[in-house]
Amino acid sequence: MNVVLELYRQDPASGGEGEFKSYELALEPTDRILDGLIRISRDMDGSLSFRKSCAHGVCGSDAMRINGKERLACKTLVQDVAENEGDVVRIEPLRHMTVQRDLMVDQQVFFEKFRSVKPFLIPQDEVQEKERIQSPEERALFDEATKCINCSACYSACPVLDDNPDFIGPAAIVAAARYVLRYMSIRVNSYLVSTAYRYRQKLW
Amino acid sequence: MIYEFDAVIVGAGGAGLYAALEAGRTAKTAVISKLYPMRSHTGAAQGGIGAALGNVEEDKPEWHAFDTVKGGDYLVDQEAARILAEEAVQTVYDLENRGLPFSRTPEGRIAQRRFGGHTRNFGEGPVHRSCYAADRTGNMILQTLYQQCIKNDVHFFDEFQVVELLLDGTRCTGVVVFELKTGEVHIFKAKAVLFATGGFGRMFRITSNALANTGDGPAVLARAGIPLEDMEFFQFHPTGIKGMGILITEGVRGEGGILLNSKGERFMERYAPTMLDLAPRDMVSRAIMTEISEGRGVRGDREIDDWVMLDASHLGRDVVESKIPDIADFCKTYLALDPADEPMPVQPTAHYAMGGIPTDIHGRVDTGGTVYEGLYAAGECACVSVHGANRLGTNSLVDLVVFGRRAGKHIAEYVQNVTHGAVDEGAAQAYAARVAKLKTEKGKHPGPIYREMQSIMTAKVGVYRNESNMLEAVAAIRELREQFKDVRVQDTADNFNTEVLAILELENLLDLSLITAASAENRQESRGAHSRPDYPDRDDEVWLKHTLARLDGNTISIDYKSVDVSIWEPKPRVY
Ligand SMILES: Cc1cc2nc3c(=O)[nH]c(=O)nc-3n(C[C@H](O)[C@H](O)[C@H](O)COP(=O)(O)OP(=O)(O)OC[C@H]3O[C@@H](n4cnc5c(N)ncnc54)[C@H](O)[C@@H]3O)c2cc1C
Ligand code: SF4
Ligand code: FES
Repeated sequence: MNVVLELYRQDPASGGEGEFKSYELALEPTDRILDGLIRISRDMDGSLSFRKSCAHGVCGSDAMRINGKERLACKTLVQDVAENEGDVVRIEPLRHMTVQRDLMVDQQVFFEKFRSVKPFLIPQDEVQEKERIQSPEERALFDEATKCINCSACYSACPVLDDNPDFIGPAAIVAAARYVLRYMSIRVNSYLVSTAYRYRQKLW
Repeated sequence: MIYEFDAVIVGAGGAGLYAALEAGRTAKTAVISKLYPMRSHTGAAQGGIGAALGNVEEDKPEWHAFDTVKGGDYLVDQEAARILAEEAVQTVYDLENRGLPFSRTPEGRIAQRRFGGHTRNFGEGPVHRSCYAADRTGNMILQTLYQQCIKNDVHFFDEFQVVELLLDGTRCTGVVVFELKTGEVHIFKAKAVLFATGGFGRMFRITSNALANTGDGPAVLARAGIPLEDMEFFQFHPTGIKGMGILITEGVRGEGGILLNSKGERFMERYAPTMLDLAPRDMVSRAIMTEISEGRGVRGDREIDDWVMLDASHLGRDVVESKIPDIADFCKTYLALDPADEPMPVQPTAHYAMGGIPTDIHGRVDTGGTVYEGLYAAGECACVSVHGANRLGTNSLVDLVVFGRRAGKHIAEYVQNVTHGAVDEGAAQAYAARVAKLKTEKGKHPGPIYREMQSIMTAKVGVYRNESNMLEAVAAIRELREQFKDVRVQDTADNFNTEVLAILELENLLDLSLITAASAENRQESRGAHSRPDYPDRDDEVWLKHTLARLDGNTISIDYKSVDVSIWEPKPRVY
């Protein structure tokens, strides 16, 4: 089917303002939006800039706003956002980070906040034998928190950041929670608790 | 700019990060990566990392080493396989101790599951050897190693792409690097450079590989005159999502999933009576293609893009949701299907490069006669060779951490005793001039060449390949390399010019396609992943040797290197 991808284009380095540019192309309903972007950049307009890699939702490269909602372009099928021939799909960069070019944003601040919670194991328990012993239940406690792919979609969607740019954002809290929850089964990690406390004022 | 480091690690996947942690203990180390480290393709690995921990049942590193050698159809260097299997155990504990959240057995130990080709007691039956973190093992390895790098203040250059190697004779003195943000070309002087740039599945149309898997490391080295080893051996994983190639982990079959043809037959019974659906990947992929070519694919038209079904519905919703949750998610997203209810449509997908940059067991680039001083490789881009003609599942993650670590250690020592070598500082300007030329002249879009290359490689150098197909492929790729000379960058900007990089990546893939097709055409036997209907048997007499293929303009010259068979004598491979 023919769809129109209406893409946000901007090159801040040349002082350009943002504008939308439309590209009409034939895509299968089951194609990914990412497939459309790749086609545009390889066959129609090489100057289109965006990040991508795994193409199946595991690397976190291609979060963007598709019809106003934060999504991964590689996990959004054409049929998820366009029903009829000629439908327009509007694609914009994430919010709360500066545009580097087109659909690429500067994730520096997002990663700095991630790093600020010290998202790594600070061993407090002796390794007993070869591996630490941890029950499946203890493991399950923080399972969800290991699923974050640092795509920063939540950082863009977060309404708190509209008013308080210092807020560390959901992903960094998830990263901290992963280790807080891991330690709950052993001993509370005082560093993470104090981090959580420090940021509390900046929360809602 | 000119940067100076003791060690430069190119690539921030599992291999690069592990090497950086080790090298960084003593050497001033930089990690250069074209992707943010956490975006590396190691993060896509699903099924697990193999190590004979014996947490679920008895297991031994010796059995693991034997399976690796047999799985690789005896083209494996056996001492390297022994090291792989032995060091795997300690490395997995080490990862766990650094915080890797493995799934657990009821006793709280690292959980293990079955995987193709991994057996107990030299082939008696499947063994639980794959240590896993649900179906996100690679992502957990990547996260854990990256977090350790943050902890240890490793110096990262993110979104810097290595484009050229600097050699002084056979000594490596640094690399030329393109910075995405500014478009500047830099020189990184180094006493030691390690390439860990990952795979190159993107030369094929149906692949499980990331868009960034364009084989930059091997291509850069090939253009510098270094031959590549065993490039004809490319693994086609049997179960990619139909049409897209997205991987459905072998873990699904490890948990009990089965393959069915259009008649509902469990066809693996006919091809591998003992290991069934858990036979090594090359055998299962061939079985699927044979079913398809005999009209028992789902569509039944005998075309190579037909498919078969992978059924996990009998495992029950609990197993599907706890053991393979990401797979269930992919099926819902891309196929609108729930694997707990219905079978999944699958076909072989280009997955893993067994061949690559030839190295010794310390990761040093070693072409059999020449050791390139200060030049190292590890991970998928390297060929140690522990995978031989066919890699077993879970053995790549082991390879990354075991040989990434060994290379890192060797570098840490090596740089203590040497000074920086001579570097041609004009190399950066020369490269910048090349990029400028790509931008200023008018020319063609890269799209058609990309698609043509991928179609040719999939159709003619795929699961089955024969003489005439491969000769056609070699000729066609040569022609595409000529056409490539007319491709130009439209985007004239300096900052964030992703198009420049995409075109340089296409050039890399074209070079590696040519080397792959030519190496495949040259090897007149069937072994592991290289299956030729015109030479259906393995021929140890003539072909028990590694290929070394050197790129020279549009031609490939071939040489050989011997295989280490010091432990087990080659035998026919039956499962
Ligand atoms: C879908 C999928 C599932 C898999 N599952 C398993 C599994 O369960 N078990 C298993 O053992 N194996 C598995 N594999 C194989 C395994 O994941 C890979 O072989 C392995 O992760 C490769 O790691 P690497 O460190 O060599 O490279 P990668 O992780 O691919 O990293 C390459 C790095 O190099 C950088 N790079 C590349 N080119 C350049 C350049 N020119 N300049 C600078 N930097 C560059 C990239 O930015 C990246 O950081 C799987 C593979 C796939 C595709
Ligand atoms: S928590 Fe945020 S960064 Fe992590 S995966 Fe979810 S949306 Fe992406
Ligand atoms: S490209 Fe990796 S998440 Fe979309």
